[in-house]
Amino acid sequence: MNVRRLLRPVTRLGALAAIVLLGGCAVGNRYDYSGSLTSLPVSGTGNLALSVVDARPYILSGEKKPDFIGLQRGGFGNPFDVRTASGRPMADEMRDAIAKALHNQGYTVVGATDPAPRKLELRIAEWKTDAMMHFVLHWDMTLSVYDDHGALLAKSSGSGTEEQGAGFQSHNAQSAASYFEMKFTQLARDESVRRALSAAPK
Amino acid sequence: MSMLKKLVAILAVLSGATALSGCVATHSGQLLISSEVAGKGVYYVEQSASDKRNLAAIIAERMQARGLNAKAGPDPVPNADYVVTYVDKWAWDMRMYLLDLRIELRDAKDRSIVGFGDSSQTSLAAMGKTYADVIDVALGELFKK
Repeated sequence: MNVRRLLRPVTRLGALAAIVLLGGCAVGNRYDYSGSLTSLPVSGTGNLALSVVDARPYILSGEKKPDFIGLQRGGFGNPFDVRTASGRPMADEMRDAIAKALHNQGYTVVGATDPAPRKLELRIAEWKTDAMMHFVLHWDMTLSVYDDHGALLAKSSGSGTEEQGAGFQSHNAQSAASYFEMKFTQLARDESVRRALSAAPK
Repeated sequence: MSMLKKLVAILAVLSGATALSGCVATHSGQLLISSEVAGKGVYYVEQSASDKRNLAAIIAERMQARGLNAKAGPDPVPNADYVVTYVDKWAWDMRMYLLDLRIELRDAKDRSIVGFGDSSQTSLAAMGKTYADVIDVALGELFKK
């Protein structure tokens, strides 16, 4: 009997196994940032304009869509895009999270162009997760507070790479949301930011 | 026959990768306050609603072993500066083992996050470790200098 013919079903099974191994749990992963923040180390009252600017180079160039969060790698390190749970831009989900937390702290959050004594802007130069055996986050963000004339009152920045154990989609999604809470809070804890926000005229 | 050899080689690589990935432990952590400030704080360890093993008491005990003023129990500590919360994830592999423990430190005034320590371990890496060992690793990440 022809060996090649005998091995045909084995080859087919192998190809199927390779597809599962290469793709498996790596395809179609989605993370949700909209509920990642509950409280913040700032409080106040009155209108507060809020904007989140996605300035990641691959988003600005159009290489990736605005709902791109990062990568989930398959069995051989082959990358698959991770996107937002809602399908909306990542910056919009992050803005929702910050707005909810600021509302909990007493502010009335309004749009970026609405009149307000203070404007809070989060600029994201980098926010990209990369998960395989480890969950890695590359981040670079700046939080700025402006007065109603657009003058800069306070600024705090941070960047770096974080790494921890990876798991299935739900674990990685939670890690991503937790890191956003941690990093945004780190920027908001800056004394000049807290002062500028708490001293807002009512 | 060369096709068979290729198949065997691929299977060998795959089993090697699987065997190597079986014994993995990863840790991470960050603290937004200085270790000096952390050392002077009063901590209340809040028991997780889903925790039936009372890890809160062990966390408080391990924090005390580090010289920190930490307490657990049903009643919150009124003068606490920080609240310690945790999420424990378990998995089964011939026995239940602590797959991941994330300990979070929150400001008692506004509940904003102040730090976290995380310890993840696969079944093999968790073998022979007590709850206190895993807690120590997570606390070590949280309070690392």
